[in-house]
Order: sequence, then structure tokens, then C-alpha cells
Amino acid sequence: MDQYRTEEEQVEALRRWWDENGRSTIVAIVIAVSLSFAYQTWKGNAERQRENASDLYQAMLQSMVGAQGDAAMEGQGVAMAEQLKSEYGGSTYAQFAALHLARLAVDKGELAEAESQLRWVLGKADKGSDTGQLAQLRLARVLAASGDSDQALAILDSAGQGSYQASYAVARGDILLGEGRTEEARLAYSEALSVAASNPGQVNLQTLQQKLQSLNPVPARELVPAAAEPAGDPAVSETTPQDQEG
Amino acid sequence: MLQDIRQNVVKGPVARVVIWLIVISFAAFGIESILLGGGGSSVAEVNGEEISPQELQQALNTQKRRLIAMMGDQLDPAMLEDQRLSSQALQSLIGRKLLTQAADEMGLAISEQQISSVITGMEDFQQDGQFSPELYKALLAESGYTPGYFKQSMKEDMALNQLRSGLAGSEFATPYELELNARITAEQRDVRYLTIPIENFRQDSEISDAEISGYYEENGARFLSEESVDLDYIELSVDHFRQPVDEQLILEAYELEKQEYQYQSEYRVSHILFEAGEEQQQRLQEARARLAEGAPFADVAGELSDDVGSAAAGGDLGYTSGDAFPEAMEQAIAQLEPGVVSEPVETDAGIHLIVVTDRREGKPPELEDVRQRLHDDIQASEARVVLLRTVEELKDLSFNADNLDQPAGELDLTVARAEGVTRSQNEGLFAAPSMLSAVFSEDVLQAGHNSEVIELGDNRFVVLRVRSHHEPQVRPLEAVREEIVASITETSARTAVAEEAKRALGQLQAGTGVEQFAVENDYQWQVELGAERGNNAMPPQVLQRAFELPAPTEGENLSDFVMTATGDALVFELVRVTRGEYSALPEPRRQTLRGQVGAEYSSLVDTEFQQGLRDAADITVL
Repeated sequence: MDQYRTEEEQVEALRRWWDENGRSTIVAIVIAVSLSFAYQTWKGNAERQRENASDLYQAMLQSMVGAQGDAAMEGQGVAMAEQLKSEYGGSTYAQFAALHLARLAVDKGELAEAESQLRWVLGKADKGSDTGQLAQLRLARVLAASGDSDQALAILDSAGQGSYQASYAVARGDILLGEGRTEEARLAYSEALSVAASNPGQVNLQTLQQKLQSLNPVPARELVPAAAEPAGDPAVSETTPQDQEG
Repeated sequence: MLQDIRQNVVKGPVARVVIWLIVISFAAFGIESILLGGGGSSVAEVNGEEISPQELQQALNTQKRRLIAMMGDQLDPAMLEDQRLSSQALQSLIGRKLLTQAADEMGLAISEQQISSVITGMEDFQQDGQFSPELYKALLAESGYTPGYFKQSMKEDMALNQLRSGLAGSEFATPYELELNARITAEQRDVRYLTIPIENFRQDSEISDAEISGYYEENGARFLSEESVDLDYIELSVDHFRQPVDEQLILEAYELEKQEYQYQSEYRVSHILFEAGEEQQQRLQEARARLAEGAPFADVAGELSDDVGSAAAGGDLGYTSGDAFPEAMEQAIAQLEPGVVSEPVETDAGIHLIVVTDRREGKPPELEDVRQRLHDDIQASEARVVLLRTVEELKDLSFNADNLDQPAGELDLTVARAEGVTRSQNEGLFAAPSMLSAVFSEDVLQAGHNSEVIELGDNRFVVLRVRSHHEPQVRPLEAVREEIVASITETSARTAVAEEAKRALGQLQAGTGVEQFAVENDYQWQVELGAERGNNAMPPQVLQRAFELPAPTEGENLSDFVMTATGDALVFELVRVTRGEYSALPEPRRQTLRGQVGAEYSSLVDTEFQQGLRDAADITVL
């Protein structure tokens, strides 16, 4: 450590340092402060953007849920969803809004409209994101409903299903069953059920189980009369019904 | 280090970099991240984010409250042990953390205004339809939240709600899927069935001893006795410590009892008040004069009394038992005959004219009437003191002893014995859950220690130890003979029913109808047309089996039989299968189906989403 003999020398040293470096230090501080200010402002703006989108989405949900068939109120919800898509197109809220528009369209039987909403989501969603995977799945289902089973199956087979293996399998089963490809449908449903059962969450899959049951009939007992036995005896043997799971 | 910096500062360029770093880091992250960062003690880490012990404790408390509310008295205290609950609570915290992170990553955020308007809109926090900040703070404090924490978790809740509504909540059912599912869920099957009742086949046939002992040999494991224990125990209750009561105490209690208000005489009183003032005497004289002339007291009071409250009621003040009014008034009241107006009475309020309008004569009870009750009360409260002292001593003694006789001897108590206490005990002293969990605890049952002193409520206490432990054993033949006879009889009846069912099935498959067979053999038969899977008119076994069968080819029947739990056989034929058709369903059914198909996709998507988060996450439980 340098030792200065007198205070004056210390002051002199500092002053000299300041003359050499003062300007650059000030510039450094000014740049740092303005950079951080800009960053905070940007962050605040982004945050406000998100919150505005959130408020709008919440209001949209309220209108859609509260509508209960009231066309005017539902119309408000739809308008807000469109606003989300146009003004906050980059946000997840916009994708959620489009998914809800697709839902409403399907409920009304407007499959082409549903398709275009889902395709919009696919255009916005990152590859492998949850919204993307779900939009893909729903697009396939909508296409199948419009009669284009081949394209629907192609989408289900090619697309990354990600975490949604069981949901994809149910959709595949439905399409195959409609096509009369019952054995493939049965396999798809079984896959869906066993994947769903391996998850810890409890899911009510009543219709899935019923569909599977109807594809897995258990034949009736067949009684074979043993001809040699005298009449009056319980002269029958039986083959037991095969195990359903078998 | 600071010296080094100073050195470097003097030297130049490195310093600028250091200062820059400090400035930028403060600006970007704020000083608190450096001062308050990383405590280090957490119970789990989810993708690098910690779950603190406090969070876990809060979740545990919530879960306990829920359990207590659900189970009430039936709750086994063991269920509230922290170890049991904490892994569940931790898992749900981890699940929530994962969802919160996912919501955050998707850019879901709840604004301050939104959360405020939700909170102020919650009915719990409202008084007369208005948000009340005091009520809000009080309720939060009561359930152990700070406003900041509450707001934060409400924000999370709302964000998670948005997440769910966006992914799972936007599910639908396409027309194609509705048609497909309706085909199956609304499928109808026509079924005819007949009942072969087991009663027809139960008969009291002689069963030989050899048959019985043979059965016993083969099926010994079915005749195990229940595990049981014999216990020594000391039971303490108030009754054990009742002592004769000193007569003097009863007399003292009686004196106290007599003072109680329900035995006092009561007077209903009216008055006219003249407050101090210029015309006080003059108005007093006027009132007395009018009363002397026979004017009703109530009228005069109504006109002249300065006590506005009572004047309207004719001066009525209600009842007093001697302590409601100022001393001077009470003295006058005690001496007044009913209906007679008093001389003027002076109090701080002014001058009163008083009249007693009603008198309820109070009569203190005779000693003999209350003696028993006083005696019992005194005896019980004295006994309780001794009881509690003895319990404290017993806790020490029995904890240190390896038997019960010694503590009993020292405290002059008796050891009782109970035999054959089982895990499923449902009556008597040991049926209480706290007793059973003590009896069958490892410490008492295996280690053979004295139990803790268990409080049963109602001032009863028990300490116990296991005298002998009976493992399940095969009961002797004689004890189970009747069970065996019943079992053999039942088995042969069931076999006979099954044989008969096969005979019926043989005929059905050979072309005999259910109706024909039933009539010929005197059985009941029924027909159910258009039964769906949810049908509840048919026996459930028939329904289930009828829907498992493949559809019969046109014009043919399929037959089979099922056995009920009680042993009857139900023989049925499946006549016809009709596919469901969505467009043919009534509107409410269509609505249900739409909901059901959508909801299945929705809940499947929801669980798969959460499972996906879990699979991709880096979770460490510490």
C-alpha cells in the first residue's frame, strides 16, 4: 500500500487521478444509469402490457362464461377475444383467446372458422409449446369432423404429441372407429387408457371405457351337451368366458 | 479487499469495470437480492426455486383444518401427525409451484388493480355490502396470513385459473365425436331374464361328522380367531375420590345460595321525578294534591314526571330485587305496601314519588330441598382436585414403572383387568379411538411398556399395559361346527343353483325362450326393452353382463347367466341391440353428452399437462 507523506500529497494524488479519469468515470456512470433506467422502463412497459392483456382476457372469460346462450354477452366476449388477438398478438393470452374462439365455433358447428382459429394459434405458438400441441390435436379433431380423416390422422401421427399421448390416442381412436378400423381403434383406446392410468391424477374416463368395452366384447358361455350322459342329469360342461383384459 | 480496490482505483481501468458491475447489478436486481438472498434452509427445490419450511407448515395447517372439519370426532389423532401429512402437503406444494412457474413462463400476470378489485369484491370481507379493511385484516390474522402473502397467493390462484381456462377450459366436442359417442353411450339393448332363487335349493340335509372335520382340515385358515389382548389398567374418575362432605361446607353453600337473585322478592315500581329547579316544590305539591284527590298515578306521572323515559309508560320502571335503584329509593320501596304512594324521596336525580305496582314474593329454598345437590357439587369439586393431583403423580409413577401394581399401590388405586380387546372393538371403555391406538401402539403392544395416561374427557383417565397378546389362531372345531354346517349347506345350495342355471341356459341356447322356460319351471321372469348402460330397473349384474356381450346377429338371441351376491342365478337372453343416435336424443341428454365428452378431454389434458411439467422438472426433495 502506498504511503503518502502528507494530506496535501494525498489530495494532490486524487486530483491527478480525477484529471486523468474523471471524464470517463462520469460517462461510465451516466451510461450505466441510463441503461438501467431504460431496462426498468422496458420491463415496466412489458409488465403493463402483460397486465393489460390479462385484464382483457379475464373480462373475456367472464363474458363467455356468463353468457349462457345470451348472444349479446357472448358477442362482447368474442369482440374482446379478437381485440386480444390483434393488439396483444404475441402474448399467450391471444392464443388462449383464439382457442376459446375455436371452442365457440365448434359448438356452433362452424368447423371452417374453428380450423382457421386453430391454425392461427399454430402460427403463433412456439414449437413444442403446450398451446401448440393442443392446437394441433384440436385441429386434427376438427378436420376429422369436417370429413378429412386422412389429413387428421396424418397430423396426429406426424405432430409432436409432447405430454399429451393419451389425449392424442383418444382422438386417433375416435377417427379410426368412425372409419370402421375397429381393431386399430381398440389399440388406440387401450393405449389412451393405460397411459392415463399410469398418471397419478384421477380422471373420469367413462365414455372412453364404454367405447373400449364395446370394442372388447366378452362372448357368452357356450354349453356343450355331453351326448353320452343320461337325460335329467346336469349334463352340461361349460367354457368360461374369456377374461376381458386377456 | 477494500484496500485492494482503492489500489486498483488509483491504477485505473480495472476499477471502472468493477464500479460498472456494481452499478449495473444494483440497478437491475435491486439491493435486496444481495442483502436478503438465499437463506439455504428449504424443504424442497423445484427447478431451482425453493419451498421454505414456513410454506410447508402453512400447507400442513390448512390440511389439518380440512381433516378436522371433515372427520370431527371420528378423527384418529394419529392421522394428524406431521410426518403422515407432510409428504402429501409437499407434493401439492410442488405441483402448485410447477404450475406457477409455467404460468410465469407463458407470461401470465395479474395486475394490482385486478387483484384489489377481486379482494374488495369478496363477500367475506364485506360489511353491509361495503369492503371493510378492518374485517379484512382481522380475518387474515385469524387464519395466519399477512396481507402481502394473501395477496400474492390470490394472484397465483388467479394466474393458475387463467392457465387452466386457456388450456383445459377451451376444450370442446366436435359434432363427429358427439355422433360417435352417442352411438355407444346411448346404445339400447333388449333383455329378457328370469330369476332362479337360491331358497328353492336350500335344504336341511344331514351332514356327517367326517364331512365337517374334512372341511375343517381343508379350510382351517378361514376360522381364525381375531387378534386380541388382555389388559391391566387403572381407571381414574371423579367418582373414585368422593369423600364425605363436611356439614359446615354445606351450610355455607346454602347461605350463598339463598343470596342468589332468583330467590329475592321483586317489586315492580313506578315513579314521578321532579328534577331540581325553581318550580320543583310547587310541582311536587301539585302532584301530591292530585294524587290525594284520587287521580291515577300513571296519568300524573305522564303529565308531570321529568323522567321522560318512564313518563310515557305511566312512570313504570320495571322490576327491582333490591339493587336496581339508588339506596334511598330501594329503602323506601322495601317498606311500601303495594298501591300506596310514598313520601317524597330524594336522590341525586331529584325528588321522587314512588308507588309499588306489583310484588313477586321470593322464597329461598329449604335446606333439605337443596342439600343433595349442594352436597354433590361440593363433593365433585373436591374430588376433582384430588383426581387431577393423583393423575399428575400417576403419570410420573407409571412412566417409571414396568408394571401397574406398584403405582397403584403407592396411590392406593386398584388395577382392573380386561380380556379380549380387539382392534375392531366397538363397545366399552376401550372402543375409543385414542384407547385403541394406545393399546395397539408399538410401545405398548410390542415393547410391553405402560401406556401414557390417556384422558377420555369427562374427567376420566386411564393408564394401561398389555398382560397378554393373543395372535390370531385357528378356533377349535367345536366352536366353528355351526359355521361349517352353514357353509357346507350354502355351498351345496349354490352349486345346485348353478346347475339349474346351466340347465336353463342349455334350453335357452337350444331355442326355448326365457318366458317359456320360466312358465314351465315356475320362475319369475321380466323383460326390459331399450335398456341403456345407466339403466337402474334391471339387476346390475345382468345389465353389466348384457353390455359386455357382443351384439347378436339379426334375428338371433344370445343367452348367459350371472350369479348375484346372495346366490340367486339370473338367466337372461339378449334379444336386440340398437345403436344410439345423437340427433334422436332429447335436448337435455345431448347437452349432458356434450358436457361429458368435452369434460373428459378437458380433464385428460389437464392431468397430462401437469404430468408433463413434473416430468420435465428438476425436483429435489431435501
